[in-house]
Amino acid sequence: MDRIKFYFYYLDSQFEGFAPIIRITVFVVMLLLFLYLLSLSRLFLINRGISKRRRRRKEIRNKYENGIRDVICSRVNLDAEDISNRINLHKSDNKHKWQKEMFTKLLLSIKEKDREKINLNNYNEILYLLRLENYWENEISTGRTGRKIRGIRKIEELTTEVVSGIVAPLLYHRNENLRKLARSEFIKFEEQDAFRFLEEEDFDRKFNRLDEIRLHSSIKQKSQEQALPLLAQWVQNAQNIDFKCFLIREIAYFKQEESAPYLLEIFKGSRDSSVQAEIVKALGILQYEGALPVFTSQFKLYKLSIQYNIVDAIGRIGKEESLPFLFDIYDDAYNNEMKLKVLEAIQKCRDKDNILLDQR
Amino acid sequence: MDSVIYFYQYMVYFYSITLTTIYLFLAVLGFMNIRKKRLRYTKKEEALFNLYPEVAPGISIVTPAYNEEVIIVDNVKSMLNLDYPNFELVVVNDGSKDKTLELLTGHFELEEVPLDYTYKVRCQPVKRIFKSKNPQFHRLTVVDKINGGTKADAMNAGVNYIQYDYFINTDVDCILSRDTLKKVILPVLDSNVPVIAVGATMRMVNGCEIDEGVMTRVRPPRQFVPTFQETEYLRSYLVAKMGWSVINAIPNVSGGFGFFSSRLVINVGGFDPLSHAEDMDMTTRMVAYMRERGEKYKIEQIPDSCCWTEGPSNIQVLRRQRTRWGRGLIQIFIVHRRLLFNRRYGRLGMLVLPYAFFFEFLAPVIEATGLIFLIFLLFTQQINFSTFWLMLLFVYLISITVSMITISYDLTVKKQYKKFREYLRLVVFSAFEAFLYHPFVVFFSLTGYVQFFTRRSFKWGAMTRQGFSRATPTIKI
Repeated sequence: MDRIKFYFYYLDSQFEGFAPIIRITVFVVMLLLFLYLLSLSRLFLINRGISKRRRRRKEIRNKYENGIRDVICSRVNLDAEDISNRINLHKSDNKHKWQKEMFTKLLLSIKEKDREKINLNNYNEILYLLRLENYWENEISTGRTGRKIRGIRKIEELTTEVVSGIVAPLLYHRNENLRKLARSEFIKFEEQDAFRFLEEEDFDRKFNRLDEIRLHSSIKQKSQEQALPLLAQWVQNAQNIDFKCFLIREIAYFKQEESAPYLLEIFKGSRDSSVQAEIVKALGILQYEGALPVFTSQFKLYKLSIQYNIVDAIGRIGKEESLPFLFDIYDDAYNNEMKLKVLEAIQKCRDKDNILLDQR
Repeated sequence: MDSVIYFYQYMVYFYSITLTTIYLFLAVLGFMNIRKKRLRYTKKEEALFNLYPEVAPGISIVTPAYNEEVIIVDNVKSMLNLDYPNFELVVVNDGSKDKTLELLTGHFELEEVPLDYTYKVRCQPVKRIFKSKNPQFHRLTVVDKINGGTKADAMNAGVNYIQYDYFINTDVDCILSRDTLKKVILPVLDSNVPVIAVGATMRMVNGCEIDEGVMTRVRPPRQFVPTFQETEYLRSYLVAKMGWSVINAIPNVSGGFGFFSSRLVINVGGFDPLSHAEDMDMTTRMVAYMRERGEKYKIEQIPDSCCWTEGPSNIQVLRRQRTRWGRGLIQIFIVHRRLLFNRRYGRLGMLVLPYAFFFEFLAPVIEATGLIFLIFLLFTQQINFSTFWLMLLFVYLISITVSMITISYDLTVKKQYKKFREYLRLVVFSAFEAFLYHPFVVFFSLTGYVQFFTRRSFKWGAMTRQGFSRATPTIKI
């Protein structure tokens, strides 16, 4: 540090008495030169890091890939000691962070390629043997934000038997990305109160469409393990319109037909056109015939987006009684898009009820 | 006279200092943005679209084609190969006189379908619409229209037909990476403010290996001109636009690759066929539209290399390209002059357009006059050579330092080139850019400005297509 200070003062003294413009320029030139050399060094260092990672990955793969694959895909259940002998695991190959990460990558790639053949017992034993769950749990608990995010992603991919307590401290984290990721994974991990955040804060105060996709994936995975609660219970009280619309779409996707009457009540009472449009779409998918009188009675008073969805919904539900209504709409339609939608709906009704249409 | 000389010298000096400060500031912001995007958007997020296609938003791709028989089949194959569950590809045959349409019809088993077409934005009449009989190509639609003379007209024809809320505007000479759609939609979804456009990094396809429309090996170009342009493009995307994106002040989403909100493009009247820079014109109009309505918006930039385009292979083609860009830039300031320094338009009026005016538009003018001034001082023996070399070093270092920063950022995002020496090639070339390439860019830009004012009739300018598949033997890796 003293040496740097010495050179700095030396350089400064060389330009003593020069115009400020010159001194500023010399300073800027030194700065640019420094940045140039820094970037050039960085270029070499990054490349070196990439080569090192590649080499290490190759080393782990060459040593263990076949052995681990054989164990994971074996039909015979093995314990940790057997596995360690089979794959010839050395303690020194599992000490460092980079080794844990390479083993994680390796396991995930084998899991991805040989998904159908995985022996879950052996897989879990290998996780235990390599202490990978502990490693990533540790990253989630003690690492910086970036490491925590990585940790949550990795542990979710690695194992299905994660305790929700791992992400619990992160559920109210100030980092928006980490907090939302933790909450969406919480649904998968939690057994007691998985859907807590569908009630609380409308999942998150910064709910967006990427969260919708993550939530959808979590809810879908959960639906494969247990029966889903009626999502409609959260629709009425949700403050965030986007979250409301998301729940309505999920109700339609998971075909929760019992929610249909409730959605219709919300439709009647709602002032928000996007909510109404989503409800119409959902009721069409759920084929809820009870909605038809409500849709048709005040059709012309609704916004165009809602009208389009009503026509689509009528087409889906496909009742013969709807045909006169559709013909009237076609006659009154002032834009081509509506006419096209009505024609499609008429075609669907016809196909559904096998009716021969009179020419209009 | 002395005071004029002093004034000019100081003005150029402070101009350079300001430009240096802006670039370094953008470099810092760009670095932070690259780190943030790399942390937020990973393969896991991208995989969600394939795993849950029911929630993946649909994306349209519009690509105009005029006399592109050399490249059209490879391009369409490449687009249809994209790894995303819900997308459509609309190729607009803009009255091609060669075998573009025949090649498309033959390769992709197209048949004419009923002309169900609505003119939401103006364009030349559409004659026919083709779709494929083969379910393998169900995503493809070809719109055959009367030639409108410009890419913008063809784009509008495509925009009229698309069905999804978002579309990508790309050129026919562009190859998109397979994961482009997944990468580009992520920042749109991960926002509480409507994202009206997204840009991505574009690179030169010259020198790369393509096998049946799929990029198999990325290399820097072998020829001089596109090699310089590779670094120039990377600077623009990885430093400038990534930096501007942090403060929501991106001046332009490139016409070679741009992701836009369909509804908004239609609302602003589509692409302007009279514009020489329809990409910057569209970006400006979209932002102005949102500002006029008091609506929040964001324009995003992702650091990933999503699009490879054929760069000018020689000086003549570079000249055509840069004169067009010059004409386009000056036209922007004339057409949108009411936005300049207009507080009503927020960052667009008070930051983006003034920056573009002073540091993009005026830069070639200042450089050219600076050179003339220097020659004058040399002849009148008024040069202080020690100061002269210092200033020259300063200006030279701005250029190579920003290039060096850019190349290091590129390696941070992803190692595109297989061999490290290919990055060093860019480093070496950037050292000579100021002498061997930049002067041409300045000259051609000025030519473009002059051409605009002398009102010559312009054609879009033919890129001399090399094609992808025939140039080098391709080896599938």
